[in-house]
Amino acid sequence: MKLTRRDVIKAQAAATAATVAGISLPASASNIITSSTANKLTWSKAPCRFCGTGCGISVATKNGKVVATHGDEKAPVNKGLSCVKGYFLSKIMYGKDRLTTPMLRKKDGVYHKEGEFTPVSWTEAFDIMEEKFKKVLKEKGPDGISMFGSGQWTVHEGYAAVKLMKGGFLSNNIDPNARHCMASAVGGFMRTFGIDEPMGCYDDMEAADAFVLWGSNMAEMHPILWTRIADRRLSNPHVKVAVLSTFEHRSFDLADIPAVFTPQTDMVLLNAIANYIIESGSVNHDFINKHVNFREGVTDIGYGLRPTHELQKKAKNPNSGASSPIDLKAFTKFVKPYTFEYAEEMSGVPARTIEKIAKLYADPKIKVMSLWTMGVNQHTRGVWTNNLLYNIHLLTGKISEPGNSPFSLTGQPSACGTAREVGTFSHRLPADMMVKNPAHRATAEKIWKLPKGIINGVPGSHAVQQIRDLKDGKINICWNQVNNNVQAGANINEEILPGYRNPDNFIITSDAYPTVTAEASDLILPSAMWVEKEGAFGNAERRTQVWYQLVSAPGDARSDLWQLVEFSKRFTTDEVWPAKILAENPEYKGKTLYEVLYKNGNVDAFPLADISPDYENQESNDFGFYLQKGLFEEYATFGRGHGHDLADYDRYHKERGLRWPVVNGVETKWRFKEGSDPYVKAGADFQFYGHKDDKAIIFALPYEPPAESPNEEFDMWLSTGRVLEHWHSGSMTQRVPELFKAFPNAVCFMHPEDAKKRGLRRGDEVKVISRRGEMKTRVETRGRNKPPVGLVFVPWFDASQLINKVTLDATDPLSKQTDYKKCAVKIEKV
Amino acid sequence: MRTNKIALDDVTAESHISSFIVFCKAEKHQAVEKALQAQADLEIHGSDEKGKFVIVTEAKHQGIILDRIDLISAIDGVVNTSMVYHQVAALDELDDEIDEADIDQPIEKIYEPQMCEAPSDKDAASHTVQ
Repeated sequence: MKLTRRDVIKAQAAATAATVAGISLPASASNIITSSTANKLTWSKAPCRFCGTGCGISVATKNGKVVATHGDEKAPVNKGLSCVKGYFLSKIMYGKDRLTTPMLRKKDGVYHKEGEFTPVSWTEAFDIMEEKFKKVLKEKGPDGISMFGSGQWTVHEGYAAVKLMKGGFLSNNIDPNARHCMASAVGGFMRTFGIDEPMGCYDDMEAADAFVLWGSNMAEMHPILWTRIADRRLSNPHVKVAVLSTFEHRSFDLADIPAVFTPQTDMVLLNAIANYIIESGSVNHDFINKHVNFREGVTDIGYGLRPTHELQKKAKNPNSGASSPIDLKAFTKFVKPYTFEYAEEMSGVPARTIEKIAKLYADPKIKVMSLWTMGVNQHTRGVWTNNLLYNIHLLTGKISEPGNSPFSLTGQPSACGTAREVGTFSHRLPADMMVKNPAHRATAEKIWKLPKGIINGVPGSHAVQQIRDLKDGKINICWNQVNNNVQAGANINEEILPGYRNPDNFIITSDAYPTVTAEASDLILPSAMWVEKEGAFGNAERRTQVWYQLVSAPGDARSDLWQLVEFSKRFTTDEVWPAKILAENPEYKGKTLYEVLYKNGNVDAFPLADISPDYENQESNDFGFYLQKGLFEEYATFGRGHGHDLADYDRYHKERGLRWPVVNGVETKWRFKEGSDPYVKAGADFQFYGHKDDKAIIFALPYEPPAESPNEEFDMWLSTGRVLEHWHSGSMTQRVPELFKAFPNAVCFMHPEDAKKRGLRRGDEVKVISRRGEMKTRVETRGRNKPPVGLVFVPWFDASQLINKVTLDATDPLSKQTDYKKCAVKIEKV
Repeated sequence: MRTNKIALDDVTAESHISSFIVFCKAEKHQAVEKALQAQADLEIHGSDEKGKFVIVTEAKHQGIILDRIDLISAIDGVVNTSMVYHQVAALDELDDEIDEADIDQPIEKIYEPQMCEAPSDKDAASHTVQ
């Protein structure tokens, strides 16, 4: 029998799927034979670059291109499966409009704010950047510049960026767009536990008896994890799934207990469940007495709007996270008014349904996993709602054990690993440390080998503040990397675009593709992406995963890491550091930022010989040392011995990731629990060591209304979110044509009755109008998302439609995370 | 509301070969198998009594593969379709005949993806999809 290359590839595809499915192929198929020379591919591992799940992918290259991918069957996260985003990873790097050279706005051969984008060399690109940075630094100091990144930065990139901004330019104006998705989760963790990130892990999904989704649409947003939950549910009839959301979506297909609630009333439901736990005698008193403190938070904290906004002026305690100690008795009294009847009245969820959900938490025999993402986090009381979720797990002691797990999911591939663990927030340093804390700054200065007292102790401008400062001319330079803020930010018309196009400002955007943000900028830098560079991501269950550079980036595209480190050569300490510090530390005088930050004896400690001979490494070869290893090892110094331990860098090349803390080479699955977390002292049972007294905190926090609710004129709730096929505001996924095809345009999902009332039919063109702006879209009354009467849902990926012209930039006053989930709009036929 | 944007801009000399696992209710195994056989361009490479099928398909554009998966998902009794393998190849190479000398090992032994390092997570290796 003659065999073709096609037969061989098909045999390989079949064999891979058969391995994952645990099926042995019939003998006849086994006789079709394959061989490594017939389909000669080089296989390597990498985490998927799309979301925070952190699936392992096997990636094949041939002639310098990625040609095949499949779910890595040895990856514990996805066990060989892939979702539609990861299925076509081979295609994401080869879009026709890939950027391959820097582009500068020019008129008559020179930079001009209103000029046309013109290809320039890296030298010319860095020349103009250097000129602009130096001018602004001279006129305004470090507060005049800013950087905006994301959870798509690799660990190395985020760390290099933090060092350049905080240790080099002495500016804390660096924030990730994780501010828009994870900041409330971080705030919740820090407030309740004093240490960031989930205590449990994905293994909980095979151990839990009940799953409660708070707003999250995992079926579409985290399909691989949803498969694990569905497997658990379908193969164990006693398992229950409760799905709560402000509209009905695909996750409801699996729901034993479905519940659609009025926006913002999740807080009422959570307090009602706490009340039920107490009244039904289900409090775990032993656990509470040993491991929990009670506190009552201050209320009426405003909406994180500009101080001049009416709503902000009305607030009694704007932006306050203060609290005072109380006890269980006072807490009992506090939640007493939150009866099921009151909760039904506020939320629209029948009391019987609320009781069913409450019993999942209250019954000591049921192991319960709570899961949430943006519904809870993009919330004007996001931190509070995170606190309230932990309350019900702490009251019952259902935490840190297999299956008992409050689990905050993440959206971006390294929202945890980079944005949070590296600390690319304006107020943070690596390993949960804060710029405000002098001892933390001293630690960073010591590890970074910088002069004492040099790091700026004032938190910088967070994401929304950066945008306001650009508009107001307080910040004149913003360098965007791995994000698409013009599409993803709120209130684009009034806040973002005026700042970008302010003639005093210079905006730089590094990206692989010409996004709307790139097009609104003055200089575009072409970036290498995913396996075109060596990198590391950290997923939602604390798993750090590293990959090699597998192919070269096209044209002159360079990784963001290379861009940051190369640009640092353009500045000397004399130009950017205070004269006083240099006078006291003369050994730093005349050095470049490259020398003091990256050739500091740590980052350049590992020779090129340490790099695997099987892989390229563009950045390291250019700088002459193993840059990624040096950055990682210096960064790991922050967390080792402090509950954030990472393994040796080289180990990660051999593993499908490890969950920190990694102590004595062993990863940690459940933190804070004796026996599974090496940081818990013998005999303690549980130890919430993020707080000095080793106790977690239950917070008494009331329901407070949203910043804006429907009224007579603006009579509908607007909620925004994603659809499966579009992540990262679509800047990546829209390059994969069939992802775009599967969901080509944003539509406005609404209830058929609401449509009828307005004389609208499915497919009609409408305007969605808020007090701030409007967008045109089309009515969809069927399909995957079913809003209740009074609410519309619009996905937010489509560059031609930009729903965020309409949304309000109200934020959580504590986390500064924007609430994209609710504002008031009206719908008019065009 | 679906509009086909791909056919216009993406006619290439490439071919896409994909595999996926179809899960169906065990009692519907025979009916689902028939329906899969009836669908053009699908190859059933294996199945088991629990209701799993290994399917391979080839298309000029990967979007067509998604359409086929949609059709499979619509078959009565199909619970889920899990995507596994995807490879892009030059269309003109696919009919090349393979030298007999290369053909010496059965599939099960061959498929050991050549990872950069040996896998160390023994737990993971033993997992299969339920």
